[in-house]
Amino acid sequence: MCGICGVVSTSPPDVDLVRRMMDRLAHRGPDGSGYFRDERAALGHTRLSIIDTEGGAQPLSNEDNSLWISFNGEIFNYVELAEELRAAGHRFRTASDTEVIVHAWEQWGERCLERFNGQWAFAVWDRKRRELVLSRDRMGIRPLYYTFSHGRFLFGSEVKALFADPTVERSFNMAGLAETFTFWSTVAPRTVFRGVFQLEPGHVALLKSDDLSGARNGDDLHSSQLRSRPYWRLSFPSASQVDGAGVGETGAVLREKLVNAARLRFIRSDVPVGAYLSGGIDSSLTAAIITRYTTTPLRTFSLRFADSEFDESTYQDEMSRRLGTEHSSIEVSASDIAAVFPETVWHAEAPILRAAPAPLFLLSRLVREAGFKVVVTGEGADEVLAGYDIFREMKVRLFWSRNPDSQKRARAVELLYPWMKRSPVQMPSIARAFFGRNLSVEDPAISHRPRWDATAALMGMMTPECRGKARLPSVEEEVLARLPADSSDWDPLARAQWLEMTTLLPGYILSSQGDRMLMSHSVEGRFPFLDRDVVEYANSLPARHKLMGLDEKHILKREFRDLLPESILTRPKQPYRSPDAASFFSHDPDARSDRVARRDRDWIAEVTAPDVLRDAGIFVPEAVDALFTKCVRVSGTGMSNTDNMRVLAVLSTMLIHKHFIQGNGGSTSLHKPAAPTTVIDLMRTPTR
Amino acid sequence: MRSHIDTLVEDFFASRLVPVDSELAQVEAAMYLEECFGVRITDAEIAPETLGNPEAIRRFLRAKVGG
Repeated sequence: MCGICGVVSTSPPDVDLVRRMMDRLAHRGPDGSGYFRDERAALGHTRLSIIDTEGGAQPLSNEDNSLWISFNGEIFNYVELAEELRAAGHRFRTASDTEVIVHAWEQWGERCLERFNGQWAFAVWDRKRRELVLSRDRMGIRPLYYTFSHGRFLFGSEVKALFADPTVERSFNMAGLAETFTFWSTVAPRTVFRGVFQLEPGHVALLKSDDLSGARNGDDLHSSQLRSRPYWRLSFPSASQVDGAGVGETGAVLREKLVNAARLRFIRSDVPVGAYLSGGIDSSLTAAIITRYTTTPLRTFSLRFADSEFDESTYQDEMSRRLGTEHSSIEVSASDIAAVFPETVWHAEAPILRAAPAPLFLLSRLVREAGFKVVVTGEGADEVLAGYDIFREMKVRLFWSRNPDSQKRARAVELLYPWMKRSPVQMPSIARAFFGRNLSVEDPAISHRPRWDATAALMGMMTPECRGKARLPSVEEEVLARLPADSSDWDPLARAQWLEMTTLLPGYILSSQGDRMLMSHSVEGRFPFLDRDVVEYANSLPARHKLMGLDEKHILKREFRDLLPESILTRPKQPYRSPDAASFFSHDPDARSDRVARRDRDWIAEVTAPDVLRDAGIFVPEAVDALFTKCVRVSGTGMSNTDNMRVLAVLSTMLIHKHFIQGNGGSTSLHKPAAPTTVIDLMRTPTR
Repeated sequence: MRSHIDTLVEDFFASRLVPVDSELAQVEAAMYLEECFGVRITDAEIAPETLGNPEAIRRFLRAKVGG
């Protein structure tokens, strides 16, 4: 895993700018760095060396130096592809997966992307065509941002690299904030920054440097000079076409694919690979599978919480004992979350509506301190195999919507969350008011509408001016308009999965909770459940194999009974959560001392001071004051879900404002960039 | 060879959430059967004699969808 960046222009790019961009990505690649430059383009790279640690320095090229690449990610089937390319006459100088990409691009062109099994964001500069190619993996595991400023095209793994160019505008995109305050994240290509875009998952984009002359800033570029198109689409079969195979039969096929996906992600590394162990089914299963491919104890890592409501250490310890892993965990308190929250948001580069990324920031630090660079995790299972509560809620709402007046159907709400402390179903009237709103069997977003509506309540805190801009266009309708034309024939569960995999998965789970928290401490995550074969097969399954009645991830639990203890198989699903508002307002008995705890929270008063709020112009200062006064009164505990999200929205948005709008995205972090170790500068006058 | 109905009813009983004899279990069964068989179940049919146990469900389904 690495950091990539670059500049394309109509004249030789400024090397100092590329180096400043690389410096902003030092945390993604502490093992080396390098850049390439010619008359029109520069590619930068910061390296986290995992495959071919000795020989895989970047940027690197094909045989005749006509194609240069800067690559972040892994191509897990690179060994097989390299064999095929050697047989076709290509000569390799390294044993890296990076070199496979340049030869594959040369050999197969854009069709090479169909052959890649992996997680990637890369830039290839074609010197002959004076053309830049950008590509991102199918599910959006690896990030890739771009912008345009003063005749230059800039790209990078993180937005902060783009802001190393002082000519790039730094302001909020209100539609991006509206998406975040509806879906929990922006939806590619949008970001929360005006004029800054992200390449969509499963897309390839081409940019000819000659097309840059005459281009203007920001939005102008997006639709004209950069030609972006999908090489892969997330799709599902028509409900009537799904075959009638039994779950036993499909389970066996899924097992084979998942085991292969986990195996590849474990063995394709030249450094040791560890695993996260959350205590849930998904990470327990991936750890159980890869344990079979090592003769030494697997190294596992997990979070514990001081607050028992969020703690899953009993299950983590049980699984660790069962697998015989060498296990490490870190206990996270509310004040720990408050202390690292500003740095967490700097890495996330987006407002976050939960504090949950902060403990993951601390977890990746634990992994790195243990000497590990790579972990296998269970991310993606809930989206691919229908594990989230939102899918169960959809089933209940669909059932109810067929006869909204039925009292018996309304009782189905009581099947949701009966085990949860403070569950809404403990008060059926409230639950029915929430889940029974806008019941329409015709609504393609029947699965997501209650959540979207509840989250969009956050916009009530915004200033009228921002709210006006944020509501146009309707971000919900924009997303629904992107549903594939044949989606009306899909099972409703498939539509719900599409929405989840298009919004929350790439924008939040894989980004704010994924790549950014892992890479904050130079750790690469690998996700077997997001393997192409696993995803495509899971999408082809009958919906009931994934969500049998209200039993989530049914096929997974049924098929892998032999690898998981009964306690984990049958435990009620507990989504990963951490304390939210309580992290910032509770009196934490575990805090190191009151004085330290207060210091850890000093930044809250700074970013929410009335004059700072007024200058930013996003939130109404009086509304923030009322909310935070309430938080202080109740120590941030016992607050509603919406109020918890409001607190997080204000704090994280104002930190983004501080870091990236007022500030230029630079960091006070400890990562010290080293001088580049690989320099290919075709514009530098050779010295005698 | 087991029928489609038998397979799906067995699958359901292997995964259900609430005690079989509770009223809520009949609601859960109705939800599942509508999804799998495309039938529409009335409030009167959400009752122990139709959805209260596997055999009752099989009888109900055979009458409703045949097979």
